[in-house]
Amino acid sequence: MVANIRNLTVAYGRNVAVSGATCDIPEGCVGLLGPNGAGKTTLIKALLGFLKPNEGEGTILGYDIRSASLELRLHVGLMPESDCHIPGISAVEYVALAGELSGLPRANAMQRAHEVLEYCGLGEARYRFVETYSTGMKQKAKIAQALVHGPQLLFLDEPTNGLDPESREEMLELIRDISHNKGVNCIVSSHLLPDIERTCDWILVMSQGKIRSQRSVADMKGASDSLWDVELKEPVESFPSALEAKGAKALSYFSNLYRVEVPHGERAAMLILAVAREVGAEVRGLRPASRSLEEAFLEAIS
Amino acid sequence: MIELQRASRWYGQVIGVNDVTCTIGQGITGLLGENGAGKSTLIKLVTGQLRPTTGAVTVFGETPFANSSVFRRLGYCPETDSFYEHMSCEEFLLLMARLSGVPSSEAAAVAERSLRRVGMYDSRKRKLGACSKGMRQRIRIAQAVQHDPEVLILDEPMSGLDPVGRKEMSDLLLEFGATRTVIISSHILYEVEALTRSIILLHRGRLLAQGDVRRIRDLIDRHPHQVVVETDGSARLLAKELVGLSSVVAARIEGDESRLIVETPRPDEFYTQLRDIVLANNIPLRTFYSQDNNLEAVFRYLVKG
Amino acid sequence: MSQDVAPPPIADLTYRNYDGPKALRPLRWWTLSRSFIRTAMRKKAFWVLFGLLCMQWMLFALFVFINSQADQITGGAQRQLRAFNLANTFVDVTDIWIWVFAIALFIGAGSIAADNRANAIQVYLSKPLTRADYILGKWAGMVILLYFAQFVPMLVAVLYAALDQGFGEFLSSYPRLALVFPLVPLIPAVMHASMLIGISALNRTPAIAGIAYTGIFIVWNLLATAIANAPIVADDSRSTLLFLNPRGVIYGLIFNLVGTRGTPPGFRSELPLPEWAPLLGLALVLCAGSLALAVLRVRAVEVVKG
Repeated sequence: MVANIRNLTVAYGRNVAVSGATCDIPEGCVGLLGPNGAGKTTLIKALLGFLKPNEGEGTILGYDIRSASLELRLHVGLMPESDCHIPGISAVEYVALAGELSGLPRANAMQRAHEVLEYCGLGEARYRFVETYSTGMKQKAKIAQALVHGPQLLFLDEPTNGLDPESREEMLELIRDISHNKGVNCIVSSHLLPDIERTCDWILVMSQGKIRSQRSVADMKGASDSLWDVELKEPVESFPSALEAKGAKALSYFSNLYRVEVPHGERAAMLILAVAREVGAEVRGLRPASRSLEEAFLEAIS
Repeated sequence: MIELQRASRWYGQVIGVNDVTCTIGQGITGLLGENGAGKSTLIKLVTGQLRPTTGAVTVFGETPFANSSVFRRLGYCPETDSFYEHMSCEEFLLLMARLSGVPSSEAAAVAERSLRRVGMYDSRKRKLGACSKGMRQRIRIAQAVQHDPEVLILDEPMSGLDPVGRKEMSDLLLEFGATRTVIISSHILYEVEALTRSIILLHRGRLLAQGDVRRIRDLIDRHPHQVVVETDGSARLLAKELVGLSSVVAARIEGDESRLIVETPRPDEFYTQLRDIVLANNIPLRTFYSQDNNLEAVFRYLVKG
Repeated sequence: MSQDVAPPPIADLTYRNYDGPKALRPLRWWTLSRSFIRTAMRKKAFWVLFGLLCMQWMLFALFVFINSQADQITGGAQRQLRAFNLANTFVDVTDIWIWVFAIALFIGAGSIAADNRANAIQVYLSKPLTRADYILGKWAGMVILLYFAQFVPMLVAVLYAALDQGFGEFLSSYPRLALVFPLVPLIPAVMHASMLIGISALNRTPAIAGIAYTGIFIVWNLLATAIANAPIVADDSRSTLLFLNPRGVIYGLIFNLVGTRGTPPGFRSELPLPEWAPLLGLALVLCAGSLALAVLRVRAVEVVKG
């Protein structure tokens, strides 16, 4: 386990932002979801030691969040949501300074800065000032400064904010790589559910200060073996009734997408393709139905 | 409704948009492009904040620049986050309503209705400076739609909204798109895809593609459609069968031998042939789907080549 | 890593975990000071201003030189020059406030203002660094830089003067100067650093912070001069009132430290040495107040915005 939280309560005056949160955060990549005002940011602040919780305790990587908060930051990296950087110095100098501040000797910090900037995709641009960077490059520099000191846990707050599709792709790839192949645990907070789906294996849902659910992505999506999502090229009116004639059922449909229930024991693909041929429909997709993460999320917070 | 005829706009030596010709009609159109592709310039031209250096831009048949009759029928939700921080949400919407030409007798009712519509009625007295990012976004959208414009232009309309808010906004936009012209500029391609199939893609100031995503996808010959096929039996055996089909140009076995990626330049032909061969030979097919028939793939193929 | 295993033909140049030394530093703020000094010393303008400050002390050496040549000159001029007093000349040269001020402004105006604009405090505080470390780091960096920028040319000049007279002669003629001169640069350094850190912390634009500080510095000085000249004021408090402003505090304390007012021109030459207690009081209020403002401003920064 990367973090253990027991009964954590954080309040600002009378406003209770996090109430009685208890969970174990596993290794790998964990998604933190919740509506605005759910308490996600407060939870992160408490975990990183920026806030003293009113009640409860927690440990991250073995460090107590109340007593060892400075030491904790040696092993944890934060990629904040808003635009931030250290001005007046080149990117490599900035990342090296971030490393030095995290306890690395100067030479090691410089070496690491170059390595990490390379990994994050900033080539020659690293010698320029961060002020001259585009949004995508700024985000890369931000994640580089969070990684420079080799943290075991990385917090990413809306990592794809403001990025164009290509840069988003690169960022998500990087997060996936670092959490699955390089052994750096990640906690990603984002409103973009497909991003979370793509990078995370485990999800923590918060709402109104409480942790509502903590499950794996697969669990949340709950693939079933008798429900199938069928995509036709164009919607065909007679498709649902033709399915019923064969013993299947079209449970819901939206434009050219159908959710079909096939009785157990039947070969779903064969049945559906046969029906499609009958009504002259072109089947473009046939997959086991799973809830979209959006549905699962909305259910968890209601 | 909106027409650009060879419109170009440059700033000194930097080109904003370069020789763009297109027509945008009723319904939702996605405006896509990398950062710096010219989306903001295009939006500024259409909303009348800039004049084209050459060419023409017309909205409702008139030039939009400093044209208040166009402004009354146009709603714009910009990306930049800047307000009169000292005003309350209510006051701000009231001001915007009146600026948009709503008669003062109706302005209060209009503002109230739009507050309710975006779910901000309870927080209407709160000063904008004290509002969260999501709340500010809702107010931004409210001021764009409240005067019932015929054309709605939104730049990253979902930014700052949580998943619940995104869903609400999507529904609102679909509602609008049914009867009006809506242009949505966004980097979040899967959201644009859920709203519309009609897109305009800008690349380095030039118009790279416009129209139905599906049609555009079919025209990208360089990247045949990639279809993932999974089977309960042996993927290799299936591969042998499929490579025999006339519509298949390549087959690739992935992972643990149960997954096959098939490439085809003629998807309609392929799906029909696949169906026939599965039914004829009782092949234990489990699932198949195309992994690059979506907007993200189209964008990637067009922009990166 | 084992030495007998041969490295793979193709190296993995992607991310690797860091397993080198990493520990909480005993002086966390020192890293920040070092970085501050390093960045400032990289700028050309800093060296130009430093050069001008050196010129100021060359002036001192020049006076010493002229005086030492006095034996060659005969007549009335000789009598005038014999009135030469090293401590007075030292104080006169130190009183040239403009170059130290310029250096302070250059390195200090943006010290926290630029960080405000770039939102850098979020980055700093996400590392093992407290808000106090941050301010102390910036402050110490400024003080050290300003101190040595003054002390180096001052040391060279004073050594020249000492050598010119002969060490023994120098120590016996000016014992107080010899003792206190290393402390002299500390006063402008601490005052400028504290006040600039405070003003910088309140602004998002270095230029505005700089202009604000310049304005306060000069205008308050003019105001104090006007008040000191006013006929209502009692004669024995004129001197102290004249020095009750940031610039006056700095130089008033220096005069008290060295023990002489030098040879000021005009009406000031009649005034006695200002009392050090009220000056020190104002100095402490200005420094502590400015630093308190900085602390308040930095404390308001949220590392993870809610």
